[in-house]
Amino acid sequence: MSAEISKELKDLISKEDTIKVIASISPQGEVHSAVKQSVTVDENGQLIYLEFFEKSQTNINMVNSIWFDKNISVTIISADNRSFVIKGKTIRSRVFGKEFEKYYRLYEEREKDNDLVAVYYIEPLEIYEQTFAVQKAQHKEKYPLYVHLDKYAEETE
Amino acid sequence: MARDLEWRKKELSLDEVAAKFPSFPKLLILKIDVQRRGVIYTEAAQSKIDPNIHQVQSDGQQGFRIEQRYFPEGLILKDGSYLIVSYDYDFENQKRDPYVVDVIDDRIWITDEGRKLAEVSYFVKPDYYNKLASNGEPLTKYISSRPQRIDVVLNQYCHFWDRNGGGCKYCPLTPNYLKQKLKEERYNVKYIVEAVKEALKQEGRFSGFMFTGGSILSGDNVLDDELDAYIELIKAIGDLFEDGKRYPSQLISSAFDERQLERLVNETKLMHYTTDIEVLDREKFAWICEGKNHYIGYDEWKRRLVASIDYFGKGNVSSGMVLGVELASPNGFVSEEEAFKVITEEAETIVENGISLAANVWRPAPGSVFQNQYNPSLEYFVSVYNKFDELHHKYNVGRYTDDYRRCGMHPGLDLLRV
Ligand code: SF4
Repeated sequence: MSAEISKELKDLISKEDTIKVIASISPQGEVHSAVKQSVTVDENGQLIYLEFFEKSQTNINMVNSIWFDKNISVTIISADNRSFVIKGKTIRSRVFGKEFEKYYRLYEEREKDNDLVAVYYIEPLEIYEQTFAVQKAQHKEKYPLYVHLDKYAEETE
Repeated sequence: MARDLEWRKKELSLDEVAAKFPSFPKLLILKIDVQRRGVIYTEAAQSKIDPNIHQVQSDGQQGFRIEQRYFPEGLILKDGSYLIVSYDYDFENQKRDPYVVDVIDDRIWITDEGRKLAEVSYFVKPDYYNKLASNGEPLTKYISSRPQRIDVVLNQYCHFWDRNGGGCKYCPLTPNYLKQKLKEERYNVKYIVEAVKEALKQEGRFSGFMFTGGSILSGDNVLDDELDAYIELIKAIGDLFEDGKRYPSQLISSAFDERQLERLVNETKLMHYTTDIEVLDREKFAWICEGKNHYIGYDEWKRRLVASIDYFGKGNVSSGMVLGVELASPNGFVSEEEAFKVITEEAETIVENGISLAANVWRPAPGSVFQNQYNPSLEYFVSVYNKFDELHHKYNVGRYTDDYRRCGMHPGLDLLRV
């Protein structure tokens, strides 16, 4: 079941000073995360990840995610420290073709020796905010008794 | 050969093989099986071909297939890899049912018995398609695209066929040449270079060259003329690249001896050398590749393959093989168990030198001597590919040419992606 990326989150993802981290699982079952600034959202609301290294661990894991139906996640961190998590399913990869070439040229214009190797299309399955203050409020509401007594006393004063 | 209506009961199904090899991606098992059983297209699937966009089978070079029906050149799978279903499909003589490419809910699927197995799309043709060389011929006559590799089949005829029974029994190249009554055995390098120049204008499309063709036995020594022809071609294309630097290129040729290899490495900027041993057993090779055996012999072919590492370096030498043909009748192995044991043991004696093995799935090709034969089970192909992958990892043999990006004919090598 797809989740929709809000306009606010789309705008955040497109900002240059936003950090984007992909977490994925290796064929050996190890978790790997890496900053990947080439994550964007296309006009269909799908996440796009552009990979530049054939043998990067993320690329290996993205292939693994397609072959063995393993989900990945993308963490979005804004310049003002808000953070969001998008869990997703890698549904497709393209290594040539007109759309590939569009991205190839776009990133070549940014830096001449950028050499795109793959475009990944990721369907968002679940999206939630993980900004500390937001998470704190949500957690407190959902699990009010996971708290030390001194804090509990302060809160109920 | 009539369709065997009971064939599904006699071998493990796709699902059963996938369950038996849980670490082997099911998508790759499907690729192997599509190559093994073949594929046909419904009218709805054919109507999805846009001639202005897609690369179809009737375009371009007609060596390994002459089918003129309008089929896509290949399929693209969700992992970005290609499924090349080379060779013509024999509609009359198939013991097993082919897979069917169909349109369901406006999307294109590989199906079997109506079950959706993998969504696919068709190859988009490169920009040089529909353009002409200076002699007015289409550029697709001189080069083809797969889809990130530029392929040049230099000699359209293989001279092992000059000798009675000398042609490799699984190979349709020369029978197709003769059937079409072609006369132009070799194309002028000038037009090949024109085609390559045009292809290279497309940024982000191609990542290497593959040169091959039928064997040429003439010359002062056997294969000298073949060597001269390739040197002329590889040099002419090399002139388009920076001086002194080898360019991403693979030659698949007959097995040259040391003197010929030295010329090849010194006179060209070729990067990768491949000579196909085809059948991993001396006796079966002698029967199936009679001409290769007569002029060079199994042991000598293998020796030259290993010797080529001294010229091109470890990692830049590979060999192709036609997996499954060792079980052809009447002189092939009788059991898949015996064939597995013999060929995987022999494979290790090659891979341990740092040579990778690119195995094709043998599907008896119309026009070939073996055209009416029956190829092995899916389980056999997957077990051999699995073992080859183990060997490639054990001896740390990587694969650059013939990988999922550049070739698409060797689903077993896709395993090296992870
Ligand atoms: S050497 Fe064998 S496989 Fe190669 S073209 Fe000649 S007949 Fe075909």
